[in-house]
Amino acid sequence: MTEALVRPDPIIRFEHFSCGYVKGAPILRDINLEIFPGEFVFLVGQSGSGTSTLGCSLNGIIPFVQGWTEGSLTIAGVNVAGSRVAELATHVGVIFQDVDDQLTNLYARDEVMFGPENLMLPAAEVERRAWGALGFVGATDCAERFVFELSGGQKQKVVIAAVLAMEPEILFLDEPTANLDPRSSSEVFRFLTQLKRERKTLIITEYKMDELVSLADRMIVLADGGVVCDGSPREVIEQHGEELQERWGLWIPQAAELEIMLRQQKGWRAEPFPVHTAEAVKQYSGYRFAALPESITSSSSAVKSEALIRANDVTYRYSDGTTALSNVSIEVRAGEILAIVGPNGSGKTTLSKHFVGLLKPTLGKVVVFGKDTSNTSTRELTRRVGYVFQYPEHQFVKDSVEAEVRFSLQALGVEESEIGPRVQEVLAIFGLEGLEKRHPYSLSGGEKRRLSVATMVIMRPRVLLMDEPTFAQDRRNTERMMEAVLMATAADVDNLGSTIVLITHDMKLVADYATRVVAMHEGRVAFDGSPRQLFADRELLDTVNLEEPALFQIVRELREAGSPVSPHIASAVDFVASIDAMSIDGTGLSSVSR
Amino acid sequence: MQFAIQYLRKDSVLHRMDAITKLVWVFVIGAYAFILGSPLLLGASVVLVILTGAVLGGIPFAVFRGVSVYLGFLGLAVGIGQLIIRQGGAVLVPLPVVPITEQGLEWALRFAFRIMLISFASMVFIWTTDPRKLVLGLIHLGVPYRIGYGLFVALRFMPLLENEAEVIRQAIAVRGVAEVSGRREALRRYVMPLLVAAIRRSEDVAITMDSRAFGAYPTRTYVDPFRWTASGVALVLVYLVIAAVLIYVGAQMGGLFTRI
Repeated sequence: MTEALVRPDPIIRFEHFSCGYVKGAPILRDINLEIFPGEFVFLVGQSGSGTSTLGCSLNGIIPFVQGWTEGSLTIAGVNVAGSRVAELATHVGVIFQDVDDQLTNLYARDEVMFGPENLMLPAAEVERRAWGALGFVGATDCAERFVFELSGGQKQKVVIAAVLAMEPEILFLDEPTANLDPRSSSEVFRFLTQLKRERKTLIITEYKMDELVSLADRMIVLADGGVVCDGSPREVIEQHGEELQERWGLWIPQAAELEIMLRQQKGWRAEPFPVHTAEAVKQYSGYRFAALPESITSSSSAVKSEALIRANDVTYRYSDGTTALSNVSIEVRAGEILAIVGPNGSGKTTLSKHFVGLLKPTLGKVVVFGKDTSNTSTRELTRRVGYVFQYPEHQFVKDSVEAEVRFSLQALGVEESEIGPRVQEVLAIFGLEGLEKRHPYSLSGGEKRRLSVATMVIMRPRVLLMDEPTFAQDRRNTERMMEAVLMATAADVDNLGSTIVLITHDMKLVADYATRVVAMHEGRVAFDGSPRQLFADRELLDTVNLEEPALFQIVRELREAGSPVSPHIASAVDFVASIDAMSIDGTGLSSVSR
Repeated sequence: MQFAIQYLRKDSVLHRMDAITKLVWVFVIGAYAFILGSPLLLGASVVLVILTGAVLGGIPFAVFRGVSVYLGFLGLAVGIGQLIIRQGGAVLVPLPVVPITEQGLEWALRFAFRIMLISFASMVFIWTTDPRKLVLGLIHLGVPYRIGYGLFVALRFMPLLENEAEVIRQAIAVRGVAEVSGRREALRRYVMPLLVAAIRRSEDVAITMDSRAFGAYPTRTYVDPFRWTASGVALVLVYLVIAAVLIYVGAQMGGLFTRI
């Protein structure tokens, strides 16, 4: 009660608010929500749950540009329905996912000045704000460059600066790090910390929670168009952690996942409930760790198998003379799950396109199943190597889900009688049953992704290449897709299991699935080894702009703090299995024999 | 990426010049290219424009050489056309079906040089003009800023769409559409995702611009407003004098529109 008296008026107030793009199909339903000045709100929800829609309603894109609203939404005392987009723009800055589409000027400097100029501010004020914002994000040196020459991280900085230059009190960021390499993502989180200190009201959506839970004051979970949880991140995750994972298909922070497993499997409760890595390290440093079972430590020593794809000293130059790859030598071996990682523009995609002959080396040689790609057609190579592009829409060529999958087999010349059963089998594995007649474009993000993978997997390629398979995918979609891929590709002719190449920024995906990692940096191979070796090499991670996943960070920090945790831990399951007592000082010690 | 980069960033007299007088310069050249008939004087003018670009615009000769192949080919194509159409006068080379005649050769050279003169002048303009300055100039001349910025956005997104088109082409090539359903079907399948991508982008761009208050007021602030430049006026005046001299000389040598 007293809290309500102290609190200022809300800066955002939704009252019985509904909205959507098509009349009669609300995305958000009867939302009642108050957000207060200076709050840092972490907004989460499955893909398609309406988090982005909420952002569009805040700055009036809905209903003034598209869609409809019902009920009321007040921002800084202004009723949105009676306002204009331009007026709202001075209150709410919205940053969407795709940075390229948010750079509408040719020069970075013009981009940042664009908003204030539109507001008809005096030129001196425009300059003051623009340089201030560029300085804030650390992009002053980009000012005079063309926006399309910038790296992904620099683009994101310029976009943030452009919004900050309008000096909104509220900032809404929709998955601001989805396209960024881990290092650039951390930089974005640093600005957020700074903005929080400046008492801006921040609303952020992200699938990956580890960095954000420690910054956010409040966590709101959207599902089925409404608010299902609202509270401090600790409360929400402690009380609804399992539900978030199981029911809503979301990721929760690594620390919380470990704690939930410990509570479930061993009945131990750390108090307060740890939600971020530092807390986990603090809480678990008192726990007693046992040596890992042999099965876990030995699984990493894989025998070198036959190389299916071999790049020998490959150099690739674009027609404008830029060198994208220099002297790259790499093998893809049967039965491995190889992750190719590296910052934006490091040559990952360029390299993988060589594996199906979409690009031919300027110098050097690429041999795929014994064939030199320089004189073999892409069509020929794709009989053995499936390539799933980053955007599923780019690969759809038919008007229904079934026809899309069927087409892959027709293209291979498979007998008509064999096609039917194989199509049904693959649709079942990828969870696409019942959607046979739907148009591929009408599917949800997760379904589109699974369909695009299914069209490749059904051809039973010996190697499956996937470019950013987890891009814009929530936990459930990611797990369903990976499970399906592993199941469908397991029965390789050599019985070596799936041979998969993942091109990704997603270090969690690497940690969970990859058996080997190649890290690219400035067109060269900077590392080739196991995920564990990569994550253990701090210096290397630094040079290639990568960061270890939260689990590895927890293990490392525990070891640095003197806990005898096995460095071989590679999963939450290993971690929980390796703890055999809750505390070493005797209080609440409950030894467990496994 | 090549599209917008056709503007070569440098610091030179031509780069500093305002876009509008420079555009007038291109028009002056365009006008006298059509008045002047003498292939010799037209050829000399081509050299003059290249020198102007090189000296005042700091454009390396390698860049001129780069486009010369295309412009030379264009000139050749137009020239051969003229050679065939315009028959008359003494036969210079008695080829069987289309003999090269005196008049044919003259018209061939005239058209080839005209095309090259106008093209080179336009290229010098593009290489030395920051699109930002052009848009500001157009807005200064009264073009509504919403339309002026449309040009900007087009320049900005052309390379992106170009790039996306290439990715889609590759994505579809991997699926083997051309081999199975034929080239027409492949083209149809290629256009669809490209259209979807273009529509998605244009929607996103519109939303971004709206949320940066674009179009909120009838006018907007320009941190770098348009300014007329003396160098531009000087360039136009010098070329007007050159044009007058060339036209006079051309007339003395045998008429503006006919002989050498």
